[in-house]
Amino acid sequence: MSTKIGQQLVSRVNQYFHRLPETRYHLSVVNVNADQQYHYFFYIRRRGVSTRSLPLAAEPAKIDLLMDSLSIFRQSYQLPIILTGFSYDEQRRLHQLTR
Amino acid sequence: MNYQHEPHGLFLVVDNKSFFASVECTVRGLDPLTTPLVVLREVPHTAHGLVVAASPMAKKMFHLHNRGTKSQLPHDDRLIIVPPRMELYEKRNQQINELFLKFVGKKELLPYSIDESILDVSHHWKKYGPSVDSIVKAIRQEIYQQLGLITTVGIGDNPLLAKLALDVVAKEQPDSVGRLQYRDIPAKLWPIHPLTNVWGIGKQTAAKLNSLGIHTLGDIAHTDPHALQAAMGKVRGTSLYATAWGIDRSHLDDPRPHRSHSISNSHVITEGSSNEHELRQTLAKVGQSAFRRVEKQGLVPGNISVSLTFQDSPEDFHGHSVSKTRNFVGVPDQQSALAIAVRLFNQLWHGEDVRIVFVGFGNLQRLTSEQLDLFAPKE
Repeated sequence: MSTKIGQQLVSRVNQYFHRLPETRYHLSVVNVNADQQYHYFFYIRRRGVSTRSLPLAAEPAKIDLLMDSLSIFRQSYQLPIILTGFSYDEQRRLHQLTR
Repeated sequence: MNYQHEPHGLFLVVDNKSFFASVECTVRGLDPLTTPLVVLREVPHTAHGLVVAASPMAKKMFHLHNRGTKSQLPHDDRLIIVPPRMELYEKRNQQINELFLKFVGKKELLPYSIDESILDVSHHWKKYGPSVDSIVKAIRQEIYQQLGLITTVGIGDNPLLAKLALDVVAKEQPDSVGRLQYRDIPAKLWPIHPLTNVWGIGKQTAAKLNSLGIHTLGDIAHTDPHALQAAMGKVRGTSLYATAWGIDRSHLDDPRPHRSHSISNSHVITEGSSNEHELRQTLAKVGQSAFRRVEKQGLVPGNISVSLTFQDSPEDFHGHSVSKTRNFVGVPDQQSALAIAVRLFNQLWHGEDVRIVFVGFGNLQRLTSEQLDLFAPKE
């Protein structure tokens, strides 16, 4: 599951990441309690242009799965990863992958 | 009007504020009230798109509205644009209705649309406090805590008044809760203008009423109901008169037909199509689906309408519409209804690019039930 999600993240970001000038990109991972899922989004923010937030994938909220997915993503991209809705302990565990 | 014999319950219509945009905010960990976000349906490989929903802050900051076009969006990086995800919205709607079942029984809940539900709390509100406000607060808190969504609520003596309270009164209230009782009707409902602000009154009906010199609900309430029936049709005339007086005798587990003036279905072809085969297939699908819903509710349609919205140019998202309506003679089955739909389509379409195919069944009646008689006391 996590390998599949990790590959899916990479494949979707391949479509959206174009290294445009004056453009910031980041991956956002949100722990959504309502679904007990992690939701992944890709943000494209460029001055003077509206920001895009593109849904990439969602997977069951299990920290080990998330670590696997982010490890695969990190093999291809060194973009910033922003976590939302995670406890202090979870953020600490994920620190190596998200810094 | 003597309301003594009318139902006096406690009904809520709960609506999710800017539902699609709010859901998209919450799954991103963003505040639905303070985040400027629009849900944009884009036409692939073109620069065109339609705003499906805008968050309250997007509306406030950039004066955006639903059904605006992509070209109207500001070039501002504070505005977040996201694609629509109907499956997610349907899932949230289901979760919301499951939360409602903590407060009422299944027969006291009617999911009315993807972002609105009607609840009969008549037998439950006392458990939560001395007034109906307590149960309303508890329901809103539950939805907010579980799903992060902000709700607007209409409270009424019957489902119709609750819906009108939501549409007309709640918007003006700082707490987004509107209340309507029978005694409020002359002061709060009758002055509403234009008539299209009233639930169930569309542009065409309003135009017809205006041509009769009727401009407010108060005018409808003081029109001879028989004259109204003669001008607008028996079912429609009765329904309008009932709305003007705030009368609704339906039960949530058996909604009467006058609460649903027509049943329709439509299909949007995102990039437009002039392919005859595709259009005829779409027409059949849309017509079959609408007819099945008519049958499922045990209703018989009095007429059928087909409407096509043409795409005048790739930049033009709204286009212009043409429509035709035919009355049925006798009780139609699906095959004969669809045959008429095809005939109407043939009259309307001459090779144009079509963006929306619509089929509606109107003047719905129950085969076996008696008509709502406003002039007889309720038993």
